[in-house]
Amino acid sequence: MRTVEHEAARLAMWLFLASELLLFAGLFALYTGFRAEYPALFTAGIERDALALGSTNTVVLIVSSFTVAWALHSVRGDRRRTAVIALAVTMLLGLTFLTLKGIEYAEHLSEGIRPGTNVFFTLYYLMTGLHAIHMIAGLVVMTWLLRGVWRRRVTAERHTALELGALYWHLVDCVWIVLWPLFYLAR
Amino acid sequence: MIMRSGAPLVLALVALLALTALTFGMHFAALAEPWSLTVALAIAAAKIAIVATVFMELREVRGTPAIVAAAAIGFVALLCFGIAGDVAFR
Repeated sequence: MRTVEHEAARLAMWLFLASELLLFAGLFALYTGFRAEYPALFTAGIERDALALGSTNTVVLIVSSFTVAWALHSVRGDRRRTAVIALAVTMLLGLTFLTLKGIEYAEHLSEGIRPGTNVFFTLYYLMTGLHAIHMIAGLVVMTWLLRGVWRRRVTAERHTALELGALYWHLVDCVWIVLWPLFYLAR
Repeated sequence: MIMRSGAPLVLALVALLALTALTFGMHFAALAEPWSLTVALAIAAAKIAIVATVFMELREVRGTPAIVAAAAIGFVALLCFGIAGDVAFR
């Protein structure tokens, strides 16, 4: 049953998601403007990005979106154990993403590529770094939700928190879906 | 409480992974600019649509949240057209 509190919470989350979408859209606009100004610089920058790591991270995040959706589906079907496993896998995938990102940053830094090296890599660190911060926040939320499902505070009758947490996770995935071609593929 | 089959979720995952593989393959197709970026972003838009409609259940959002979602998408589209116009007429 949809309560007033549930509807208010959903509205608040959609407002938050809208603000996050516009934040990243502004950064994508910045990327577009600079790419049009310095096409050769961007092509050279993309060549130096780790295609394998970035592509693996894309698959990792897409699967994690599936697992968190599966967790919600399981909670709705009163399958608590399946939901716990799905959320745990989601968190594992999120940690995998951040680990691979860290490896990538370490490789760039060891080559002397830092924020400020040029426009492309400044945008790269800014946008992927902001995305990584959102991932960390998402992992905190997932930890809280996993605990809630495990302790039966999130149930088939009361799972607004999981619905909203999943929405946030999917948005973070959508942002990476756009970041991947911009920084790793389109040359 | 809404009971749904999990099949749409699985199908969405398969579609997303297939589109990801397609994007990866296009990288080696050596398309000329700006088609390389345009095709990649078009595929990304399709993937986002799948995530939004299946995983985020955007089709079932009603009332004010639907207006908020539509407004956000509208403003992003406006920004995209504005930037594209600026870049095209420099």
